[in-house]
Amino acid sequence: MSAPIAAPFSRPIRLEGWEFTVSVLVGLGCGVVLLIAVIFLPWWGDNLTLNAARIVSDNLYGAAGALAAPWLWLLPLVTLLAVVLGLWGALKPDYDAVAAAGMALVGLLGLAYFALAAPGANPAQPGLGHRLALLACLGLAGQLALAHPRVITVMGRRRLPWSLPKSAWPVVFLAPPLILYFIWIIAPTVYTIYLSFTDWDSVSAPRFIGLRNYIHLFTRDRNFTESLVNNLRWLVVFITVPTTLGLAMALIFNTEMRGGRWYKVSFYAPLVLSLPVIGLIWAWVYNPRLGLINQFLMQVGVEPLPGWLGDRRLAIWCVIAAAVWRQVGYVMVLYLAGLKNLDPTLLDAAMVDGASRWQLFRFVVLPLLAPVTTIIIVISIIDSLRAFDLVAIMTRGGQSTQVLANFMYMEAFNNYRMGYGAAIAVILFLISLVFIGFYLSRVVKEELEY
Amino acid sequence: MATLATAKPIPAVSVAKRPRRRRPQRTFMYLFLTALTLLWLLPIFAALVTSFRTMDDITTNGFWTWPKTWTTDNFARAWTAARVSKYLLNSFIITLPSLLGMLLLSSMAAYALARFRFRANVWLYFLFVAGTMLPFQILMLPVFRLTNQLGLYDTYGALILIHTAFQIGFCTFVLRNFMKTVPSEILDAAEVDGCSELRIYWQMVLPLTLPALAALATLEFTWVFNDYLWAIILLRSDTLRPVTAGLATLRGQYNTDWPVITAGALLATIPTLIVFVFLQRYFIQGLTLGSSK
Repeated sequence: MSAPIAAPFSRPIRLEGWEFTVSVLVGLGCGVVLLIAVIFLPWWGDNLTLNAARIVSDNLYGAAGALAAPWLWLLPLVTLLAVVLGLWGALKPDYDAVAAAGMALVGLLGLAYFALAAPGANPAQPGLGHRLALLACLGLAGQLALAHPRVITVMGRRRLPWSLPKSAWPVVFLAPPLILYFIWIIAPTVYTIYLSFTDWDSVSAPRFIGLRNYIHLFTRDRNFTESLVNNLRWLVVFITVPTTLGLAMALIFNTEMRGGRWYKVSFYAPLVLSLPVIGLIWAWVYNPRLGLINQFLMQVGVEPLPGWLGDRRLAIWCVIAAAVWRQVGYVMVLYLAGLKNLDPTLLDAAMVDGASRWQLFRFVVLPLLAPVTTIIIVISIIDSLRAFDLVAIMTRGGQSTQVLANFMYMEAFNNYRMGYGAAIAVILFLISLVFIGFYLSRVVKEELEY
Repeated sequence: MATLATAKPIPAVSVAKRPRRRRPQRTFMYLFLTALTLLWLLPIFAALVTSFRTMDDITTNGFWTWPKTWTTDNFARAWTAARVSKYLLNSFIITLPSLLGMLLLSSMAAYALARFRFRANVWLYFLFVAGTMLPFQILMLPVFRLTNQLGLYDTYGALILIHTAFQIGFCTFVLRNFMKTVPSEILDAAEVDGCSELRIYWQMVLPLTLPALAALATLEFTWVFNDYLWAIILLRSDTLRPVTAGLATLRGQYNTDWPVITAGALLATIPTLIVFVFLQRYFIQGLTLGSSK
């Protein structure tokens, strides 16, 4: 009975490890409290920005005006160790006793800080973070007692004194993520729409001015039209070039070939580079005098040398080319996964029927890949609308390379026209919404079929 | 038709099932692929070579010459004088708590959405899916204002919170679909045996979701580590900057000293490169997990 169910999961489910895990969970909890205390809460006094992580960072950096805090670096270390040990112990029940003992030692290390840092050394009162961290370290050190077999059996045997009705559980699990999600994602989206109807400048209170921002954008702002056109160019290139290139690459690498892995890796390697790094590397490649391309053209004898990023007509295409370089590998990975999921019997059937390779591709493989292609196109569109980093790093929006995302950033944070920036953001949002809606409708259809 | 087929690499889908192609064709294919790969990685090679040279060498001899001198000085300068080491540490301080937070919170949400039936279930799921595709610009101003009002502006915490919150959508989407594949019979059986929901979540569902968690963690690590936008909006102090924003400062400081800039850029890539090399399988899984549904 249990065999067919258990088969897909190689890991046996262990419930008898629970007794030890109580202590590991307490330790993990202490680790998380410590994490919050170190990063978010005031260490001295009640200034939130003066948290332990910041003080350590300032000291490490030797910044002017850093609070003297000897030994404080111990606490981030203790936090990291406690969380890692806690996770390890919770995930590997066989070693949870070791993890508990380790956490106890780490807790003692944390207490050592509180012993070493003389209370009178700093004039300010210990902050909330300081006090919470002390408690958490005590809790961690307490693992030593909790890990004792007798304590464990007593705690493990006893059932929880309270129990919740079944209907309350979704609330318990959903409340923390939803609250965070609501405060930082949903409410801001709505608030930006409100801000776009105001003339907020980040200093005085936002004043309602109706549609004036939008009217100005569409009738008088040349930069806006430029950004819109550039975004459109970006979008068209992103839908076509990486998709076809990625598909071609995926088809090549889908065959069994010696060393194929290495070729594959080199094509998706750019994906792990951060966009600022890509921007810097390509800015060097495009360097008009010493860069890779122009030095090569000089040797070949091309005259006059193109200015690349310095040329108003070329610059945006140069930026897009760098973006495409990164995107191809991504598309290839997605297509490779799609090809792997194709039903081989369909391909065989087509071959038995005498289909040529081109027919096989055109009438069997391509239609079967259609769902993957749709997702890739949606992702490409969303990515092209998000384009920001490369433009910000390579040209700062100059040389006619402005895109909506960077234009919004510059209006809001360089020119302090926050209301105006909000209007640009809303337009960007509305354009994305078309594609988000399209994608969502597919997800909805899939879900409601259940 | 036959000539068309040889000209295009596309039909190779079926090559495994066909009799082996002729040798010269295969050699040609390898040559073509090798050339293409080298061309593809040329920018990275260029950066690598540049970072080992001096600016004088490049200006006098040109880029396409064999370097007269090899030096590791650029890396040393980028690491200490340009503070890349410090920026890297900041990146870790921001990335690791964000990862922990987003995986914990989104696995809770995913568990609730995958296990319980209630009226708002699908709608909450759609809400999370929709959020994954928002342009950051729509959140920027309110988030900036909120962090200011909470006194979190210019702290690590501000970045950790927004990364955690923003990625909850994507993680919940992936984890919920993964948790749906866990047969509910075994969970119900545990419940009948007196196992509380907390324990089912922590001791049964989470261990079974471990592959998806690992894939997500790898992918999200590179995403959060590589973020640039939020770092320049929510931070002001140089002491807190992650490496992406630090590199942009580097560009301003070492305006024309390209060897130092490329050395810094390469150093900044090392952590994600390590993740990529050792956890490549998870990275690829993560990429495809998000799009397979």
